Amino acid sequence: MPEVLLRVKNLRVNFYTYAGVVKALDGVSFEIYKGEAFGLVGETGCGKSVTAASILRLVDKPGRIVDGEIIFEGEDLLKKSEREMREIRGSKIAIVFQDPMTYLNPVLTIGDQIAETIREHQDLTVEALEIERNEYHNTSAEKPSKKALREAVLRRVEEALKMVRMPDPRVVIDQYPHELSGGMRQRAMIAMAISCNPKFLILDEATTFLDVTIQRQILELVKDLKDRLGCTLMIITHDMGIIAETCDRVAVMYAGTIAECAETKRIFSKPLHPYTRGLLDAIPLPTEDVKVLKPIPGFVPNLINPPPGCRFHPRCPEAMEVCSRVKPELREVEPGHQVACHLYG
Amino acid sequence: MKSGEDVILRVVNLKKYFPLGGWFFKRRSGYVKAVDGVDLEIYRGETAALVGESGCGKTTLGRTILRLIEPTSGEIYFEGVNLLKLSKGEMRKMRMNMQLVQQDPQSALDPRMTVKASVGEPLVVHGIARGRELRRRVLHLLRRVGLGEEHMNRFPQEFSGGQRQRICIARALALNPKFIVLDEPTSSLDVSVQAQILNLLKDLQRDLGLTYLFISHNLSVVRYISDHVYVMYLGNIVEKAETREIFKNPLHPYTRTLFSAVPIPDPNLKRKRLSIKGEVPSAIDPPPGCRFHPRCPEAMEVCSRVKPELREVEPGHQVACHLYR
Ligand SMILES: Nc1ncnc2c1ncn2[C@@H]1O[C@H](COP(=O)(O)OP(=O)(O)OP(=O)(O)O)[C@@H](O)[C@H]1O
Ligand code: SF4
Ligand SMILES: [Mg+2]
Repeated sequence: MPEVLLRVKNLRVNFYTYAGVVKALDGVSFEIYKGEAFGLVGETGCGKSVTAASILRLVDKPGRIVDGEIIFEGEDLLKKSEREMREIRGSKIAIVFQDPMTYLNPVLTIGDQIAETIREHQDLTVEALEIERNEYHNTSAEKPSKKALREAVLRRVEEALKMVRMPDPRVVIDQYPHELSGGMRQRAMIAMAISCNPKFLILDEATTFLDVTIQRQILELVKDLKDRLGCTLMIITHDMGIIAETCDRVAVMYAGTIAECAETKRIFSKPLHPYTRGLLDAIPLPTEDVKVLKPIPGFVPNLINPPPGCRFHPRCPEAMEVCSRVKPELREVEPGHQVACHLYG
Repeated sequence: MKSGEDVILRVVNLKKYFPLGGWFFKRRSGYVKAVDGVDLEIYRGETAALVGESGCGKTTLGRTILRLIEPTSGEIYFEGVNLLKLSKGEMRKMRMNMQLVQQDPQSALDPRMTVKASVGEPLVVHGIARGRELRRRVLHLLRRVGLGEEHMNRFPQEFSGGQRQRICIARALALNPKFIVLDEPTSSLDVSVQAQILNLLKDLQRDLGLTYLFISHNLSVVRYISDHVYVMYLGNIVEKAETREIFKNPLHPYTRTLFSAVPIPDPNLKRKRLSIKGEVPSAIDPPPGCRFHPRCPEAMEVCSRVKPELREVEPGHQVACHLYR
């Protein structure tokens, strides 16, 4: 039995807006095993980013986590104080967002920003003392000098940039975010995220804005980092291709709920939920000439007044009478394969 | 060739250079060579796709063809007429035949105008219809794109992204154009809705005999919708072929790396990947010789010196690369 690193249980998040209460997450549950790459896939507004923000406890006003548990290494993150959370963010759980420009500070150099994360979370006294004694030849020093501490941090920053295969790390350390290309910025974000060796790394649409050739470079980098650092990944994307290539297991989200969760291979070979099937029939393939696309009719519902019962029922080709009344629970229908649909009840 | 090689649009050696810098503090002189000597032939009734990565000049090329941007030099023939020789008034008339649908339906529609006003606007501006006739025509257009009477008096904000794109398409169809430039028309849409719009575009093409220039960075979409593909890199066309042919047999090293970079939604597929080094260089000081040579895994000595011309290497398959000569 694989060890569970993160268990999200019955998570509910609302946004209290002028237009009404947006029920963004309506009882989301899933588990992530240690060492795996777990995918979260779904269309715009289905709640992928809110799920990630909840794990890091970064849901801001007007949003609020109203119910649920987020158990990480056996402890409920929702019960932690803000101070404890700050400690966990960055050092144990790190995140890389879609648009690095909104998260990188435009007036700080890349080196300074990574250094800040490292200084916040890591005690480099030992490394610094070593530098002080061995390189500055203060063999009897009890405490490292400021200079040695700075040098230790700088080396860590360089190491992180080398880890992400940044071209010319020494140059990049002194550059500002706007001086880097999109791909390099995303590398810098990843460097910052891994600089404290997190156990769990969340990538929220981390390659969506990038060109395909650059996206390919970043995807290869992520796979490689996972092997080298041995961390667990949560990969959030709307791209089934990225899921197929990078994830061991995947949860499909629809309108604030988990529709289906299984091993990636199973999701593609034996999708059970009508939404998952619809999604797979709607994607054109780069490898096939004639495939008639079958769109899913209608569009994603407004979450202020979501459809009652199964949130997918107005678009579902298989909907039955019960579907508009009763919300289907996520249940295991085959070993390791969970579905929330009345067809399997 | 399904439409008998009937060329509706021919572009010859088209260039668009944007001067650099602000008009006052001109810190750098020179040009961004966004489109740098492009030749295109688009056949009547079919879809030509223009693919490439951000900043390669796709949108500029599309807009220049419609003369929404004035080219620096070159020729554009629409049904044999050189557009660049037309006066403003003549071009206005000509533009009834040629429309543009943009990527972001949100910004393409005026939020203060009802759907009826937006879709009907071209008809009013060109003095084609008003009153009851206008209403009748707008309703007909809306039905064409899968909307109805109940949507007429609503505002763009009340619609989803996919519905807004339908409204934009209805508007583009208002003047009965022959040719439409579709600039990333589905890239802001979700996949389930993207499929709706792609199928709608296919239906409209079949029913109305439309010709499309479909600009996209999404190769899966291009494979689904297009008949011919042009691959663009830093202002140049580097390869052109029929869609089937280019996906089966990509020749240019850039096309090959581009195609092999696309993530494929099939977990059982194991492909050999061609990885590509470096990032797209700037179009301000494009590399000499072949613009792809600094990133090309096959670059030879000649590549950094001599710019390869686009030439036919197999019937209907053109490549600009020194490997094929
Ligand atoms: N600050 C906010 N105020 C109001 N509603 C919000 C806010 N943030 C998120 N929401 C709502 O929560 C729901 C889920 O949003 P979320 O950003 O998690 O979607 P997503 O799956 O990440 O989408 P995308 O693919 O576009 O990134 C949406 O209905 C969204 O409108
Ligand atoms: S519960 Fe009903 S409506 Fe929902 S997906 Fe299943 S069959 Fe369709
Ligand atoms: Mg998101």
